[in-house]
Order: sequence, then C-alpha cells, then structure tokens
Amino acid sequence: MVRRLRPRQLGIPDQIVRMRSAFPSFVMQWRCGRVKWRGSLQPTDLSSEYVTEVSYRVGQWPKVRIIDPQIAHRDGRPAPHRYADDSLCLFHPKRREWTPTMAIADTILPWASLWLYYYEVWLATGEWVGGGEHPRVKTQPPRSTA
Amino acid sequence: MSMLTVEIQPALSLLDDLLARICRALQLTPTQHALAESHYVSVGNWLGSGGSPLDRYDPMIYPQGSLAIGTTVRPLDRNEYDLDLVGQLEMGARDPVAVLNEVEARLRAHGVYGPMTERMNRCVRLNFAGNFHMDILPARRDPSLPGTCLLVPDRELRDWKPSNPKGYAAWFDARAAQGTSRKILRASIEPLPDHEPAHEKTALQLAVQLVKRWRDIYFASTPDLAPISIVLTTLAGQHYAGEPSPMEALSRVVSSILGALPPFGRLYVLNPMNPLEDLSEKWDDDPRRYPAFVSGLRMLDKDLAAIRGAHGIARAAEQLERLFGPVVPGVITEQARAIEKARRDERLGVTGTRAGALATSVGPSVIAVANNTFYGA
Repeated sequence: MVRRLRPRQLGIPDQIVRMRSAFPSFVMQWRCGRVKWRGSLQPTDLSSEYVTEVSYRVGQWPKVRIIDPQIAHRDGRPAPHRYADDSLCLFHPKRREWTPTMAIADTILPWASLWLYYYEVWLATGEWVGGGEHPRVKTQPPRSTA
Repeated sequence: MSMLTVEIQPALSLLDDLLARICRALQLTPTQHALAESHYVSVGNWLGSGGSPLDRYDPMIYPQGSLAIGTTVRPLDRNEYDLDLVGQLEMGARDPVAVLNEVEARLRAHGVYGPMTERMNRCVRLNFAGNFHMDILPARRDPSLPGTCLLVPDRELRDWKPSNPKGYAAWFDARAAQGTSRKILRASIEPLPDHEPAHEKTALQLAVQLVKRWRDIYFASTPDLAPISIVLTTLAGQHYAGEPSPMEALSRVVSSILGALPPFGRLYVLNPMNPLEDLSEKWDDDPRRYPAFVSGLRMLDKDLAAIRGAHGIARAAEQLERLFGPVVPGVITEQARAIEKARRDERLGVTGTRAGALATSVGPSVIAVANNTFYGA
C-alpha cells in the first residue's frame, strides 16, 4: 500500500481544470509540455484592465507577464518587484511560498492581481505599499522548482 | 460584521472608499468634534448660570448647519472650521441688537471665552485658534408658528426673520435616509475602527462634503463668486435620489441640477422649511455669480464622467486631485495600507470571475489571497 507523505504535485491537467473553474475567461494553450493562459485582470474599479499571460511547465516556476498595457516607468524609474525579463516577482522562491502542489489559479493569479493594484498605487504616489523583499543582486528569473 | 456578502457587491469599490476617506480627511476630527461639543455645552451653561442676565431666558445652545447635519469641511485657506450654533432664548419681542449686546457682554465676562469673543454682524463669535470658530446666533421662538420655528436677527439687525435650523436638519436627514446608503457605506475596506465618522456617513452627506470641497477649490481664486454652502447643501438634498454610492450620489446630484436649470433667468433655491425664503438671493447681488456656478457645475459633471471612465488609479488620482485638492495622494496611500493590512490579516480575496477584482468579503467565487512576498528587484 502506498502512502503519500507529501501533498501531491499537481499536473498540468489539474492546473487547467482549476484555472477553468476559477478564471473562466482566461484562454488556455497547451503545447509541448508548456501551458499558457491569457486573460484580463482588473484589480479594482479604478484600475486599468491588464492583458496578463501566465505560463507554466512542470519543474519550473510559473511565470506572469503583463502584455498590455505595458508596465510603465515613474520619473524614469522602472516598476519594482520584477525580474530582468519583466515578469512579475510574486513570491519568494526559497521560502516555498509557491510549490507545485498549489493551484496557479489560487495563488499566482490572486498575487498578480494584487501586484497590479500596488503597481498602480506606486504609479500614483511613488510608494510601493505591498511590502516584499529586494534581493541584493539583480536576479535572473528562477528557472526551476528544484 | 460590517462587511457585505459577496452576493450584493463582490468587489470593493475603491472609488467610493476613496471618496469617503477624502471626506474623513477634511471634516472635523472626532477630537475636535468632542472639543466643540464640550465648549458649546459650557458656553450654554455660562449664559444660563445664576448671575447671568440671560438666565431668565433659559438659554440653550445647539448646533445648526454643517455641524448639525455632519457635513463639515475644512476651509482651504486656514485650519479653522466654521461652526454655527443657535443660542435659543425664551423671550418675547425685543430689539435684536440689545439681545446680541447682552450675549456678547456675558461671554466677555468669562475668563476663558472672554478674550476669544468677537462681535459679528448678526452673531457673536468665539475663536478657538487652530481648531474652529463658533458663531452663536441668538434666536427666539416664533410665536406665530408651531414646532421648531425660530426668529433670528436679520442681516441689517433691525428686525427678526424666520429660521428653522432643527427643521432643516430633519429635512436633510430624511433626504439622506432614502435608499440603503448607510448600509452600503459601512462595507468599506476594513480595517477601520467601528466608529470612523466618514464610514458611517450617508452617501448624501459625503456628496455634500465633496461638492463643498469642490466649490472651495474651483472658486479658490474667485471666492466672491462661489455659491454658499446652504445653497449647495439644499440642492444636493433636493436632487439626491437614494443612490447608495457617494460617487453615484454626487454624479446624480450634479447632472440632475443641470437638468433642472431654467432656460431663462436663474435657478431659485428655496428653503425647504420656508418656501418664501430664497437661499440663493446672493446670485442677484453680482451678475457674475450665477453663470459662474452654472459653468463650474458643467465642468464638474464632465470631470466626474472622466473619473468614472479613467484608466488606472494614477489617472483617476490626478482627476480627483484636481477636484478635491492635495489631500488625494495621501488618501490613496492610506487606502493601500488598509488593503495591505487586510491581506496580512488574511481577509483579502480576489474574484476570479470578475477579472481578479480585489474583495474583502468571502463567497463562492472569491479566492483568498495566500501568503506571499513580492520578491526581486
């Protein structure tokens, strides 16, 4: 008899099912082991609508990019909490805030919406109110969940 | 619980919450409110205590105007609020100047209030530097009319004229109680102490505070042309139709006034308590005033539409700042901190079926925001 000692890692089909029920307006594309969803996020009634793309491959971290409108600069400074490839820094990889046992729809998407809210407040006031950490060296996007 | 259930309003309205916070930043603080109250009570006691020549008139002091109906707004150019009070005296027909003189003399005899006392045209003013000044308007019951009808000194002080501040406040409260405004506003973003004044206000009260603030800013360089508060407050009360949201209330009031403007001549804003009194008579004193009011209101109507259609918080913040002044950026940060606090307290969610809209209530379509740290440069 097999006993699970750890929560089960979710496969791409599990992620797709959960996304379809939680964010039904997001369009999915699944090719060569990589799944992509594209849809709109609008965190508040005052916010813009952001076309957002989430991509994921088992064994890597989910990646979130804002496609349209482009993330803007403020007084010549780029928006904080983004990786060098402009994807959003939504969680602390080493603290296991996200693991492959978690549904992207229940974690990554809510964080992305919240990120967009704090980004808009930052654009309006110059202050990032959402907390977070800045690594000492400029980071590359993390490649693997290993 | 003061939070709404997801069935009524799954997403929180950032705009309505912002407007309520703007009003809170502009109105008397709870401390100032308590201070004003304790002072007018003790002024009343002083006027009515033994040894006071006014004792026999059984004086009673109570708020009127914005203090009575909860629509105070800090003036643009100074820190002192204008607070209006009625000093009701049980007396028969008397020369109003003599009555004013007696009130003034009694206040000047007080150790604390004496040096603050200032004689005005139809009232006696007490200056509480840095907080507010209280204008005490002597009044007596109108023997010819029932209920709360009073007589107050006329502007030229030769006679008394009718007034009904308690009746007006009751009228305003009844107008504000239409719809479900109170309930909805209590659903604002947590966490807020239970008794945050602006968050217990009705949409109509907030709309009045906002339109007064807009007036102060719009007419900052031409204050002589600005419509007086009682005109704006009365118009807002007349045109409000029970909208639960302060933004909708303000928009409705403005567009409804514009729709009611007569094609010729000017609008008459009559006292709801006394249809013979034209509250807007000052529009006749200067021919520039009424057109300035109308064009200002048209611009406000357009600006409110622009805010409703704004793309992004930054753009909306710019528009709001133009209408309501430099209080806006601080209020946006304060609101973001409240949302951040809700997130840390694990009371924040997003609605997947509504483009990930933030929500502080739970329900079937609301996903709780899990713990995370925004990381990276």
